[in-house]
Amino acid sequence: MTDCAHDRNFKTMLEVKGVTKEYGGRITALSNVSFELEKGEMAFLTGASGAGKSTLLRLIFREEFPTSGEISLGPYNLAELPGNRIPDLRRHLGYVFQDFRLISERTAYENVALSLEVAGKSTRHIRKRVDEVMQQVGVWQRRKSYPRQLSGGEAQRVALARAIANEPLLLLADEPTGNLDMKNSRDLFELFCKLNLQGATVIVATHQVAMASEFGKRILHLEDGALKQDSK
Amino acid sequence: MRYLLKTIAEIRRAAHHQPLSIFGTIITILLAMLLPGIFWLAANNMTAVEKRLKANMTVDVFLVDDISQAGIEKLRGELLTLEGVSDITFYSKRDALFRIRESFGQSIIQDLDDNPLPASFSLTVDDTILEPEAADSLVAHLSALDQVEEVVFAREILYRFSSITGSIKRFGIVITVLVIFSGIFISANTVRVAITDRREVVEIMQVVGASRPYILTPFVLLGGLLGLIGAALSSLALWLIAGYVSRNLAELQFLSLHEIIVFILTGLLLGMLGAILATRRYLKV
Repeated sequence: MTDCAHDRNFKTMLEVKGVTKEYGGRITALSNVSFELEKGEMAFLTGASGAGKSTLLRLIFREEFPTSGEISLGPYNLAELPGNRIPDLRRHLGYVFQDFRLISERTAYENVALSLEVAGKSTRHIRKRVDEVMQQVGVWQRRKSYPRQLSGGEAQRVALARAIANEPLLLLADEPTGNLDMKNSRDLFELFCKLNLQGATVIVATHQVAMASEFGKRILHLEDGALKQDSK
Repeated sequence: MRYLLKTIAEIRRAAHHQPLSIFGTIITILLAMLLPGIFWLAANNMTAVEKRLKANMTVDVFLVDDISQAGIEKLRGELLTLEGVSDITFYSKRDALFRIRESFGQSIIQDLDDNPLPASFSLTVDDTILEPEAADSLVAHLSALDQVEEVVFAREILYRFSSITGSIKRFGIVITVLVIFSGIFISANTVRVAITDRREVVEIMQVVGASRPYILTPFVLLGGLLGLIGAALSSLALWLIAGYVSRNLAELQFLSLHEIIVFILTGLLLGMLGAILATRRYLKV
C-alpha cells in the first residue's frame, strides 16, 4: 500500500474481491461478492432490505471486517489497514446516511465544516470550501439554519455537502432517499449523478431499483447477500 | 486555537447539560482530597516538631560526688572523642543547684544543709546517636566509665513521637491511595455521563474521520479541569482549617507553595486519569 492517499493515479478506485461476511457462522450477509469500480464511475447498489447493501458499505467504510475476501480502496488495502489509520481512511471517504446524521446544535454551515475541521484544514480553506460545496448541492441559502429547521431534502443535501467537502476518493450513500418523497429522491439521485459527472466516484445503495435504473448508471444488484446482476 | 475553543465549548456544554453532576464531582473531589491534605499537614507539622526535639536532645552524664577537677577534665577529654557527640557542657554542683532554683524556686532546697545535686556533663548528640541501637550503645559505654554515677537519655519521648508521626504518615498514605482510586472513579463517572450525552456527536465525528485524540481530548480535559478545581478548593479549605487551628489550638505550619502545586496537580491528574478510563471504557473510537 502506498502511503499517499492524495496520489490519485489509480484506475481502479474500489476492488471488492470474493467478499463474504457471516455473523456468528450462521447468518450469511454477503456471499463471495466481487466487483471493481473505476475512478470516476458511479454505481447503484440495489436490492431489497436485508440483501446485504448496508453490510457491504460498512465493510468498505471499515466499520467491520469481511469474514473472507479483500477490499481495496485507492491506496488502501483495508485488511492491512491498522486501526489508528481508520480516521485517515474515513477522511477520504464521503458517507451519506439515510437519517442524515447531522449535529443538531450546529448550523448547516458548521456541520459541513466539521469534516474539514477534523482534517486539520485552515479556517480560510474551510470557509472557501464550505461555501463551494453548499452552493454545489444547492443549500447555501440555508447555511445558517439548524438541522431541525431544514426539510428532509435540505438536510440530506447538507449531509451530502459534508460528505464531499474533503473531495473523497469514494462517495458512499446508504439509502439516502429513505426518508424523502419521490420528488426529493429523484432530485437527490440527479445530484449524485451531477457530482459523478464532475469526477466523483460514487456508490449509492438503494432499494428503489426502478428509479435507480432511470439514470443509466451501473447497477450492482444484491439478492440474499450474493451479487446477482452487474450491468457493466 | 480552534482546538482550544472546541474544548472550552465542550466543557461549557457539559456544565450546561449536567450542572449537578459537575458541581457534585467538584465537591466530592474537594472533600476526598481534604482528608489526605489534613494528614499531609499533620505529618509535616509533626515532622517539624520532631526535628526541634532532635535538635534539643541531650544526654546527661551525672558524675560521682567525689570527682576531682582533674577527673572532670580527663572525662571531658574522653567524652569529646566519642563519635556522635557534637558538643558538651559541664554543669558543676553549684550550676545544678542554680538550675533547680530556676526551675522550681528557692523553697524546694532551702531546708537542705548540703548541696545533694551531682555535677554533670550535658552532651549534645547528632542524629546517628538518636537511632535506638546507637543510643543504647552510648548509654552503656558512658555508664561503664569510672567517674560516672548515672546516665540519663530521655529519648523515649522522641521515639514515641517518631512512632506517632510514622503512623500518621502510613495512615495518610493508605488514605491517599483510597482517595486516588475514589477520585479516579468519581471523575470517570462524570465523564461517562458527558460521553453518553455526546454519543451522537462522537459517532458523527468518527464518520467524518476525526482522530481518536481529536474526539477524546475534550473529555480528558473536562475530567482534568474538574480534578483541578476540586483540588484547588480543597487546598483553600485546608488553608482555612490550618488558620482556624493556628488561632485556636496550636501554631500550624501550612503547606509550602511547592506542596500546594503538587496537591493541585494531583487533583488534575486524578481527574484526567478517570476521564481516560471512561473514554477507554465507553468510547470505542
